[in-house]
Amino acid sequence: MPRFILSILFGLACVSGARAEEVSPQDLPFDREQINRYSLDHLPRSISIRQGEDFWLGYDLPRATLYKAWQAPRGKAGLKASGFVMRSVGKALYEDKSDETWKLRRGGKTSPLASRYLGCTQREKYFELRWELTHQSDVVTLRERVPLTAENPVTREIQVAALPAGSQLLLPTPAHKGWQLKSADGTDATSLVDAQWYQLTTR
Amino acid sequence: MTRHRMNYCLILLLTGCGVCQAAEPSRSLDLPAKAIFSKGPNKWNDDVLEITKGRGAIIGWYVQADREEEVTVSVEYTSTRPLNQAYQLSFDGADRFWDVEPTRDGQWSQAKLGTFRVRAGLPILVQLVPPSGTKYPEPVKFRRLIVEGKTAGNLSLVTNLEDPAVPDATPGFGRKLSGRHPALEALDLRGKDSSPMRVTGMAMRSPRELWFTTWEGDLFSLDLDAVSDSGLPPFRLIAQGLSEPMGLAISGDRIFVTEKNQATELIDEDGDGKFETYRCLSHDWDSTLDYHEYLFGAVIRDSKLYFSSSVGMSQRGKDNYQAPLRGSVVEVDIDNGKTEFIAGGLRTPDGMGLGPGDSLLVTDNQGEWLPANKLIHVEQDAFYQFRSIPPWHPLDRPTATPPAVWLPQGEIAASPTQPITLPESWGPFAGHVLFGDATFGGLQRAFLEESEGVVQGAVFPFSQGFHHLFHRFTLTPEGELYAGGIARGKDWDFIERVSGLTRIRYTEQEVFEPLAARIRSNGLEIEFSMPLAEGIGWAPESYFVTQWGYQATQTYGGAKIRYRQTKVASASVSSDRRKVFLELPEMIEGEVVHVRLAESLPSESGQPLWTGDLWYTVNRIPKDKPGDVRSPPRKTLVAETPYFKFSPGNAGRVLYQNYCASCHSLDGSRLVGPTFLNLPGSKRKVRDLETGKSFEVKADAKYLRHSIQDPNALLVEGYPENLMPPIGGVLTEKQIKDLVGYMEKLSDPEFARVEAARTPAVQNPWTMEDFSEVGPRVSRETTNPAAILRGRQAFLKAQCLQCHSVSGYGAELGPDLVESVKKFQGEKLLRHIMEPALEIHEKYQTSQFLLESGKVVVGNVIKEDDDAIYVATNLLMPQDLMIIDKSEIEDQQVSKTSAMPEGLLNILSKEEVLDLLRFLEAGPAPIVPSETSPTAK
Repeated sequence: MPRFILSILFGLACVSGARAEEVSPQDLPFDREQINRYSLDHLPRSISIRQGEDFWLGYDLPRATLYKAWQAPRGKAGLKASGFVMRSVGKALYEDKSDETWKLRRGGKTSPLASRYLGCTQREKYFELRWELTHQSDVVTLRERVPLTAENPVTREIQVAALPAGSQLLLPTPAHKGWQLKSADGTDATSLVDAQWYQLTTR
Repeated sequence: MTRHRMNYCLILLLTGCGVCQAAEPSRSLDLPAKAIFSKGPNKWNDDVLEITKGRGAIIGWYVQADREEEVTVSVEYTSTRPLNQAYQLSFDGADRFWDVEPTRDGQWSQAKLGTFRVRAGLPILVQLVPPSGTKYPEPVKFRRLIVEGKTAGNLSLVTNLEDPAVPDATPGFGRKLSGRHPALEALDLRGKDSSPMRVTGMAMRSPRELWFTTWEGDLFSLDLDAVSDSGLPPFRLIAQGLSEPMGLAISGDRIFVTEKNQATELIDEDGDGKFETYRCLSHDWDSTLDYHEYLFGAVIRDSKLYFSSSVGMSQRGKDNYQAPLRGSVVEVDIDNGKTEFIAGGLRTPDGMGLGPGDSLLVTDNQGEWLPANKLIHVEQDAFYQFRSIPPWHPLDRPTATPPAVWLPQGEIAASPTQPITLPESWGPFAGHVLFGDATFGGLQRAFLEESEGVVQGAVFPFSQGFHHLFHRFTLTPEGELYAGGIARGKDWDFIERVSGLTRIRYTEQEVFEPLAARIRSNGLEIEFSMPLAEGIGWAPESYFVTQWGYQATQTYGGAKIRYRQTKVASASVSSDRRKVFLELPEMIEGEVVHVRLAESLPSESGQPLWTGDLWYTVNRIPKDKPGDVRSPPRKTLVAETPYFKFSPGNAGRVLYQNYCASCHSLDGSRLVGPTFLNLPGSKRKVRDLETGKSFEVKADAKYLRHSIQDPNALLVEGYPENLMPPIGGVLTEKQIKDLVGYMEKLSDPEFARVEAARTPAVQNPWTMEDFSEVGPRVSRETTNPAAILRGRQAFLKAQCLQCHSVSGYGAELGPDLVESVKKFQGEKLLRHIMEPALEIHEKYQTSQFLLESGKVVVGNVIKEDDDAIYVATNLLMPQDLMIIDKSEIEDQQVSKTSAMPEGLLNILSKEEVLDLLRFLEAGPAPIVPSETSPTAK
């Protein structure tokens, strides 16, 4: 009898071992139901991030800006696939199809910044995107975090690092108009200073 | 070869082809449009050629100069409207672009297209090529071509350059192999009950852990020690959400994936086994939404990641636009992301690998600007000729860098994939390069060498007979080859057939085949894997050699230029009988030499050749490296029969194999295009792209011809525009006629069945009446060893071992023939082969199943369990078992038809059939693996 029980235990161990091989998409980062890295709408290089149940934020990666925020139709997906190109479906809350760039203000002079996408990271509570913004020899790093769940929909967090002394980072014009920039202590802001996290919410 | 000798040869060639000298010595050639050879969907209006469609349309002239000089090329034309793209003028491979100016009131006008240097002695092809993929409402009309030189009587028009008749083909000899190389073992690792694995990138994570990406964007791990011959391999999902990954490279702990639009590093920052960071390593080039923009790769060398980018196709069809820098070989520093474009001009470079000496190799696919497929040895700043409208690639230049090896379309490749260099454990193949093919299938092998600093080499057929196509490869340290396959699209039946993962092992079994080819100043030296039989190989007639050039055009694909048979002045066998030097006095640089070996060349041990084709790309002929021309020994064997046979009906079959078989089956199975089964004479529902209307047409000769010449004109319902390449721009008029003739013959069900089952090159529809002389025995009392040896070769050629065993070796789908010949000999034995249904042993009876779905399945029951019956539906592919769920069976009957196909002897000559009988009657002798020649190819 002990031998029989041992066999059963061994069998169960084998079964659970086999199951351990099976990793569901939900166990790994970049589950496509939440993070979609295919092209979105007209943008070859883009990424779509679902916030909460039905809010989506789509980024234009070369421009380092949010291209679109939208709400999926009730009970339906917010993305519709056509091959490997996704189409945003639902109510648009914000859209920026301009060519406006980030700008650097220093000493009363404002300069457009070139941007270069550096990559992204999925953490438990948020999804982070990173860019390098450059003007001549100045290179600053921009981080943008999308909380994966948010009390208020389409909320974003943003930080700039290595900003030259005496400089301020200005949002692209459509973002400046469409989003409210607040510092960590909740005060309104019009530009970003170095190393501080800011929150962006729709106006 | 001396210039004098070369000119003499060319004069001979031209004399045979017909050179039209101008009536009066003139400095120029004034050629009427009717002297044009025109291909594709062009129209004639009396003596005027009218072109509205670009795809597949080519017009051209072969001209010849006695001496080299500068010439100017002009055309006489009319055009009522400006075109949005330029015409291409290709003069002996040098390109100029012509923006077609509208002519006033449709009047004839002369346009000077460019000035070139004409080589002396060679027929030079002047091609005028409309923009590919474009249709214009009004035609551009051509009336004449003027080639103006400086010397009176120097230029002439060359007409009647006919392609040479090629010998009858069998698998591995002029036609694609159909079986697996005898020294390869393959294990199909596809899960039977899982969705198809479309493997897009592969790399070894550790000596026994394989990682691979899939088309769906997942990254899997496979513990190779846990792989068994049965059961689902233990794949483990380790990352996801990748965007159309097409390459995977691993360097130490660092993982790199080439995705749709960027090169990405996967990073597990906290060491929890999950890649939470996808670092964008490089995306320093433009992208569009084009489906065909991929990043293929990838390999790592000296902290640099290398991959290649393909060009887009959607926009190309409209205005020929490409995003800048597409079609490049890209080098990225894996630490700082610094990106360099080290080569350009690629089209669909679907695979990159490290070649000999850690050189970079890429393959490229035939299509626009590629008259054939390529194996490219990447050179810094090289340009490989694919062009679009400006802005052109920064490395674009008028003369392109040739590939190391041309891979002729349909003959040895159709969509070549990743090249991989074989390790020492692959014995004689160490250092050789294998590559797969996304439509041609199987494995092809290339041998590369350097000739005066230029890399070039030969390609050989190596193996078919796998369960799916191969797209990506990786090798374990022990030399196991893992091969992954992929298919695009949504046809899941097709995807399941061609996608998957296979383990391939080299078994070290000795196989007789041409191993390498090396260039010499005066010809090619062919190395064999085994010594030739004594006295064999000395006859120049046992080598059928052709040669040709290629000339890239902006339309799809291209024809062989100056395609001709080449004289073999002598054949010299080395003292160890492992090498044969072919003296080829007409060999010139810039052309491909195709050597076809006679099937009847055996090895010292009596093994027949596994394959007899090789294509050598002559980029550089060494100056002082002559081959060893030797006098044949006294005891050379003289062939009793011709080494090659030229049957009239063979041309159509070979054309089908080379141009159609990748996409159109003969047995009803669905490939990329409609099957040819029951096609001739059937009604087809088609739609006219111009009117948008659908209607029925009869698939008669006219329809077939029209579909070849203008594939988009009448599209079969369900098939999109531009899916079929415009092969009408490649084939000659005679070839189209041969191909249509072959297709028409497929209306005969028996012909179609035999063609589908075996597509033999030579058909001899033998009946018993043809062998009335065969009595109770064929053999006399004293056996003839030579006849038995020939019979053994015929036995192997007829693929008997596919189903039958001999003394335990071979397949067991039919009776062991040693036992059979104890009961049947002579006429009875022959009748059992020719009329398989005469008497069917219970064990080998075929069953017919009617399923609930209405589907009928016919085949041999191989095994049965409580739930299912396993049926081999095609005995020529016994490994492909159909599993029938017993609950789905509505009716089951034993068939009176034998599973053994009729007509198996039809590929043999009468002598071969008799020798086969003699071989069987004599024993037959056991066939052991070590000396077995390849069976089915």
